[in-house]
Amino acid sequence: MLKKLRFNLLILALIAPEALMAAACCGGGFAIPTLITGDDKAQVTTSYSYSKIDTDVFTNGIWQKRSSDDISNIYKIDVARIFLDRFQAGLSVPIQTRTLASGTSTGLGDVTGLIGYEYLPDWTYSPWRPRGIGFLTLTLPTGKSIYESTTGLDSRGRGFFSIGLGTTLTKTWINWDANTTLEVHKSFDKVVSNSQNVGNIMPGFGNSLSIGAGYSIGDLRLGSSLSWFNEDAINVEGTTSSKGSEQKYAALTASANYLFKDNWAGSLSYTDQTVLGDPTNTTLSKSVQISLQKRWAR
Amino acid sequence: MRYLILFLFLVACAKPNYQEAAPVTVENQKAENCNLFLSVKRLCTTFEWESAPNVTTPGSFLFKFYVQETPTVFSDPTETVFVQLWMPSMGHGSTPVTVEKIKAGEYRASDVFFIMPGEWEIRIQLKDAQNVVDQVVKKITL
Repeated sequence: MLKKLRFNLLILALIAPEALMAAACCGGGFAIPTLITGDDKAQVTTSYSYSKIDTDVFTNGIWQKRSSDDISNIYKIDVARIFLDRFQAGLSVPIQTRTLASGTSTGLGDVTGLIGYEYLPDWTYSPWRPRGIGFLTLTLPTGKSIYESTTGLDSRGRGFFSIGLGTTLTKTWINWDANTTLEVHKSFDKVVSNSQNVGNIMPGFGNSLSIGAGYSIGDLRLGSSLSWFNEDAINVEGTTSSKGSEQKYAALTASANYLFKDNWAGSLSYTDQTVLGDPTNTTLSKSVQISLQKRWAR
Repeated sequence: MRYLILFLFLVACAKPNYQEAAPVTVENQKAENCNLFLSVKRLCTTFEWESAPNVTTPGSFLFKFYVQETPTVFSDPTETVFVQLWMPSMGHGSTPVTVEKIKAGEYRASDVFFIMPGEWEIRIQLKDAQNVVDQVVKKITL
């Protein structure tokens, strides 16, 4: 019994939702830091992802294969720590190298902080009730965005302050596990003053939903998840004005996680944004991510 | 569980509508059409690609201003002539365009480069300091 409980707790830590990373346009996207979903007091996750834009989808529904390279290499550190028993704080710091036909540029992406609260603990290991964590995120526009870039190459962030609210539910049943994450965020207006425009960039709300499941064989877990992303239209006012269009796309992720000794875990995942959903006004990427995680038990 | 996963996959599959990237056509607009009309300044604008851009190579185009009644006489507007590349669906611009005057009423826009494929607008603007007094918009998809 104890062995089974320990196994389930480890699996809970592994099924922390893969980084919900939107990359709808121009190098930047909305991301959620990695949450502590197991019985740990702290964790550090380092990850590397290689992402290449495969297709552009226009507002009229036309898909067009990208004929020139737009590659992003993202090195990211996620840290999370429990405080006050059921609260946790997290921080995500990405460094992005972007390579286009015109060159390569490296720099800081958007930094995101998180406060989480375990509102649905699983102290009794209920056979049906999930573990639930609510979270509040704050995204800082630390990465240069397409609104400041004059080349497109050095655009690595969305460019907006954003506040998000969401929840993650996780559950394990012996070898099977499932998780879902739902979040809504609001991005705030940005004042710009450059050769292109003097005025306001006005984004709106965005949301994402992820549903995932996995199966464990010993210390190896194989999993998959489906994710949907939406962003309101971005309107522009000032010396230049324009009405934007909604952006949406979906992603399919397949992942393999392995538990090493001493609370170390590694994962390898592949994400494809071209196979699911009804995308519009977006770029669609294919990406590979590897990560290494160290956790400290309570 | 496995039936739920199968169901989600089936309902969520994308239905791509792939189309080849169409080359930006080199067109010679006839002046008398006055399709590009600056309504505030009452001026017509011609537009002619000199070299069409693609996703990796900048292009250039020529444009001229004239009064509709005298399509063979080109004249300079009193405001500063500016060309902006704008992607309205995503709310951002592209790299700066260089505008040079060739002779009275005739201009060349070079370094016309679009940072990503998609639906773009080429905006030929007349500016008074930072204020856009008038503009014509030519839409292209690349």
